[in-house]
Amino acid sequence: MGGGAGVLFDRWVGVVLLVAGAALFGETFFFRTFDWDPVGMAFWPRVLLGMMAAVAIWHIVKGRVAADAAEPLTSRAFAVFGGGMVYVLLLDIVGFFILTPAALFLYSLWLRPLSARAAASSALAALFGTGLVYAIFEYGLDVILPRGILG
Amino acid sequence: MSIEIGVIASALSNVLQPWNLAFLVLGVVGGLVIGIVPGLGPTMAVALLIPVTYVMPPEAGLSILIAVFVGGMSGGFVTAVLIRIPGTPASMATVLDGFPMAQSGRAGAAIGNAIVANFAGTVISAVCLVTFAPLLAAFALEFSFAEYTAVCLFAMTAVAAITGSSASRGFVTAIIGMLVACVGLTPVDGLPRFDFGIAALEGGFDLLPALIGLFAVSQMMKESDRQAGATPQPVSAMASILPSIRDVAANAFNYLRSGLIGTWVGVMPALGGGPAALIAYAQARNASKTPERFGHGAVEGVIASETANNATIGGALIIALTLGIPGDPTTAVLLGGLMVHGLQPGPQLFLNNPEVLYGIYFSLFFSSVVMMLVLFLSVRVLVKVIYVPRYWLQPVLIAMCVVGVFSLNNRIFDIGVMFAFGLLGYVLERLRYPLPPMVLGIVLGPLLEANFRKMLAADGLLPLVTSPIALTFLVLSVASLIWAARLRTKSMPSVDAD
Repeated sequence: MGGGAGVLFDRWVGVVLLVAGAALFGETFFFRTFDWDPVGMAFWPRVLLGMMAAVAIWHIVKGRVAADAAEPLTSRAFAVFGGGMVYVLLLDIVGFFILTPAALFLYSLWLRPLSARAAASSALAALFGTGLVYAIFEYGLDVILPRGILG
Repeated sequence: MSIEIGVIASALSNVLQPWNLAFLVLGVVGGLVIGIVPGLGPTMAVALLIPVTYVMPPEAGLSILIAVFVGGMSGGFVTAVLIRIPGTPASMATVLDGFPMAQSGRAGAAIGNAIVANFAGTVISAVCLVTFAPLLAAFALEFSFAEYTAVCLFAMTAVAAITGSSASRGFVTAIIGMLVACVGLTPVDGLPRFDFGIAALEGGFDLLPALIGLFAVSQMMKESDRQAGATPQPVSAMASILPSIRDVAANAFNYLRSGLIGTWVGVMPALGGGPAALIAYAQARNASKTPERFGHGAVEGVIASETANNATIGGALIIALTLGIPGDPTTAVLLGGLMVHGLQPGPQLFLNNPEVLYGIYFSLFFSSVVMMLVLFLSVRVLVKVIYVPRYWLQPVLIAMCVVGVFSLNNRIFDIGVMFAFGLLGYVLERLRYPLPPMVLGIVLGPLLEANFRKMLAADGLLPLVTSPIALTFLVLSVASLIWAARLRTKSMPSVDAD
């Protein structure tokens, strides 16, 4: 985030909140209602969404509500999230025992300058990490981890 | 609420079980390690450990979590003194005098006095916890819907108002937290809402994946930027770390004052260890006959800071256990740990599960002793953890997060929720939107909704002003808003100047 958009980032947060809030407010009209409950289960979310809309409008009007500047959002951080979601999608199919060491190896390698030595120690870290959580959770806590293609 | 000797004896014997003691020591060591590593803190440590405690009896599980809390809060001073980087934000004030002491060859004295200060702070706040928590819980037993509504409103406004640089940003995250808590079954009707036809959302978001995402995954996303070119800092040499009896005796009042300040600040929602340490540091400086030494290596400054930040533990536990209001993010996660074990924080906890409470008290005392012993015996070894490369540490931590979250319900969906909250936490923190109000919103949202709706259905809004307790908390809520508005007005010129 740089330039004017960065300086007035609260305004953009306000816009996002207002749009998301409007969508959620619309959703509350699909909640079930009962004659015996005068308040209803949509009441509380609507109160919250109304308050959020008020604060969002305040942010849009002000543009920026405090002196401190936002820190930049980096692609590396989003890559961690993306990698995590890919892991989630593949976990049930591939299984913990194949996917986790592979994911940890790639993650560890990605965090450092590439070299043969780095690859070897990242492989060790991946195996150690997988082994540690396997020992703690599967042996220690009786958690059955997804087997995937290993069956 | 009478004192039951049998329950106390049972709780003590439980904590003293060899396995429980071993777990307590492991918890303190684990917390210290995470506290020493800059960037990681007690919140993440407790969040990571909750799944591991899931299969244990509540007493044993909570004992470990308390031990990790104490260890995590205590470890932060080590790097503050040795490399001028506080391991946790709570040790910010320790840098001011701890690092100058290390530079002048007194690193050992700074470390030794900080260890004793951490012990003193924890014990002072633990005494306050044992003394005042039952009294507050007995008082809270009188609460009805209106009083709970008012207390929750006060907690929400106070947290939103005092965290971060802007009250309105705090309100935004508090409201997001309460909206997150709206997903799934409602606390009053037991029917799903905001599920968007997705079966997995009908039960709502589990607290733990959300908390681990917000505090652990978002932290790793931030850390992912710092890998390249990171070189270990040189660590100052330590001579003897045993503090002199003269230093300890001369600071007896400093320990007490800072401990009480830390406990009081801990009771206030969302202030936490960092502000407590700064307030105690300022008070120690004001009370000193030689205030000019502060900032240049005054051991009193280190003692004040470290006593106060650890004293917030007991203070935060007072309102967390009696009212279910977390004093800081770590306590919020700890409340999540209580709920995972099927325990509801609040005055009923004192009636229904006294053995758990006494277990928490004993764990706090034992953890402080273990923390002191472990640090005196092994701080030279523990400090080497700062040399463990992040590219080894982070994969192990993220594996712990993933499997820990999966183990709660054996649902891969929860891992996705964790990463989604990690992204949300990362974006919000980068935009300077504080996370503690969001956690409070998630924890208190259902409580506030249930009590507010029941109050409306029974008597309307009137009890909020006719009940003296509810009215008091409403006045406090308004006061905190006015205070926040005044603070904001003072900071306006700098906003506009930009």
